[in-house]
Amino acid sequence: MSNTDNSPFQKGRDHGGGLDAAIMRYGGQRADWIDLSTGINPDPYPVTGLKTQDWTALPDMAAHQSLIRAARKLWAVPDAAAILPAPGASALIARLPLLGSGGRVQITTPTYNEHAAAFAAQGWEICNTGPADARVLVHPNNPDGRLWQATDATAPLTIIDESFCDITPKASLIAQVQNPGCVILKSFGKFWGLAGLRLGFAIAAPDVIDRLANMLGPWPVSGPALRIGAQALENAEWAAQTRARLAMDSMRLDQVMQSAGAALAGGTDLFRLYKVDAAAQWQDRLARKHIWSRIFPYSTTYIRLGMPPANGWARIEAAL
Amino acid sequence: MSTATVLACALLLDAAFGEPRWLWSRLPHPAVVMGRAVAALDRHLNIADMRRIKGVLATLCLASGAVGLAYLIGWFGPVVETLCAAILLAQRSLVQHVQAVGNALRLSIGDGRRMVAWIVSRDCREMNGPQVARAAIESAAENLSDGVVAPAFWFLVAGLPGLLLYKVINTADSMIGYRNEKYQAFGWAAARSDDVLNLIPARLTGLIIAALSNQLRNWGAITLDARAHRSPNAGWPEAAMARALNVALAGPRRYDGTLQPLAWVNETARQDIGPDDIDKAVQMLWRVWAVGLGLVIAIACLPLLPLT
Repeated sequence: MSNTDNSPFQKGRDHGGGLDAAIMRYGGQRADWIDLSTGINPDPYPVTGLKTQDWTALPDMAAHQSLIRAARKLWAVPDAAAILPAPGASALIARLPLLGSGGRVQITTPTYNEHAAAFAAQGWEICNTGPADARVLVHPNNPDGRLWQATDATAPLTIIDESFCDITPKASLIAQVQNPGCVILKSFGKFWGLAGLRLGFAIAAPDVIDRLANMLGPWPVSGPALRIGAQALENAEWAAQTRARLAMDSMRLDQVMQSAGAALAGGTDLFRLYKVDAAAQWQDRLARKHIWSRIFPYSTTYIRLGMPPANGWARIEAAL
Repeated sequence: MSTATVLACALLLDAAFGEPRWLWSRLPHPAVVMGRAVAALDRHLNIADMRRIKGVLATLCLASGAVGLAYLIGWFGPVVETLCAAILLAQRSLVQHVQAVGNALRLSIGDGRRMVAWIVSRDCREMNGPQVARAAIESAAENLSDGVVAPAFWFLVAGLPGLLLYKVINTADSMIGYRNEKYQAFGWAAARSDDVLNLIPARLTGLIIAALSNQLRNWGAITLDARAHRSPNAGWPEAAMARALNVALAGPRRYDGTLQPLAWVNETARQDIGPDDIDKAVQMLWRVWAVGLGLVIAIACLPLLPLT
């Protein structure tokens, strides 16, 4: 562990991918690897229509409002609730614990680990069951795709992380935002496939949004992100086509994995969770063919795969 | 069925099944119910003035409630008692959590940091490998005492009432036993009670760990480290574990954004540690559990010895 600690890349953020570590171990160039270790749409929203001023000028109010309008419409945000665009859902996740004043937070395992780390960093105690001063619901859950109910929003500070919910928009718990102390997170990078753009949203009561906005400071979101985000959120047709394509792809991935001996354990149309006899061996097998996957420290049998790009199917079928 | 027999069965049940999710996602876990009681008392009493006295009353209220409930449950017979004890013991879940950190550290430093955040309440996001391992091993030692040895000890000494009393005080301490503005006065009684209840179990845990690792000759050094520890009790299992594994624990760490200069435990031992040391700590968790089980079975068999 210690030899990679000094690399600037490792400092502070070492996330789901670990692709760099995989490349060091198994060789090859980044460009020839297929990264299935995330749940990011491999077929991103096309990046067009950027103007020079998006890059050169500090983002103006109009660009900001245009994005918020698009978000409000797409996610059917109640009028009384406010929306905060941020540089990625992760920027919000790190700051949400500051909305409460410490205590216990209920985070049901297994789930996305960053929430626990953010709460622990502020001295909260993490527990699996209530009662608690805060609760995190990842909806749909990562890695098993579990969906929650409105009745699960039990704590004074309830965070509903809907990063992957654009796959199943009808399941959204957006109405919960009318309860004080409920914050909904949205992630642009997952469904729209532009993780590098760094764009996410918090939706909550206006006073909560004000506090979060103060934590982020002025102009948190880049001009290009405001522009592309607004365009993409308004494009309902692209979204419908994408959902259809991802639905087909996930069925196909299930077939490929099941005929190789894996059992489906859950997931969404952006990532599938499989149960295999030895996850580390499956990861190794795929990694030798330069396909990276996600396995978990709390399980020797779970392996999670994102959707492959259109040209990746042949390689995956061959690897298995 | 004698208390020792019930305890032996409970230890085995807990080790085999842990805290099954299919059960606890449907029913409120007893620890949850206790937590609700503490929260309710906090909400209604931790206001205005005379908070220390109100805290004493709250703690007495919790204690008597726990003891009363224990007698009630005891009426249902030894099987229910065994189940109750098994539920309140936490060997398997402790092992799972600590092992997961070791597995995570093998995957990547990021995984390690995020996994250890589940069991320690501080900023893990910039920990290096050895710091993650230290945090996991410290948590293992402390929770071995709090979550396994202490509940078992109090059950043996005072039956279900003793066990429930320990758990409610321990829960109260974890929720209100803090030295901050809000809880300094109200939580005083719970915190001090928790200190008293852990006196023997913490030293007992340390003793068993030291005996198993041939470190009894270093008991003097263990005592010194334990006395210097920030907690009056947790230093014992931690110091013993540190010597058993030949690692240095505690040491300077980040709390609330500042670097606190905590003293090292077993300072001269290895500091560059990793997942293998976490594995060894997990092995020690099972070995202590086994010794505990052995002692309990021996006590259970005492009445069977022929009287002269």
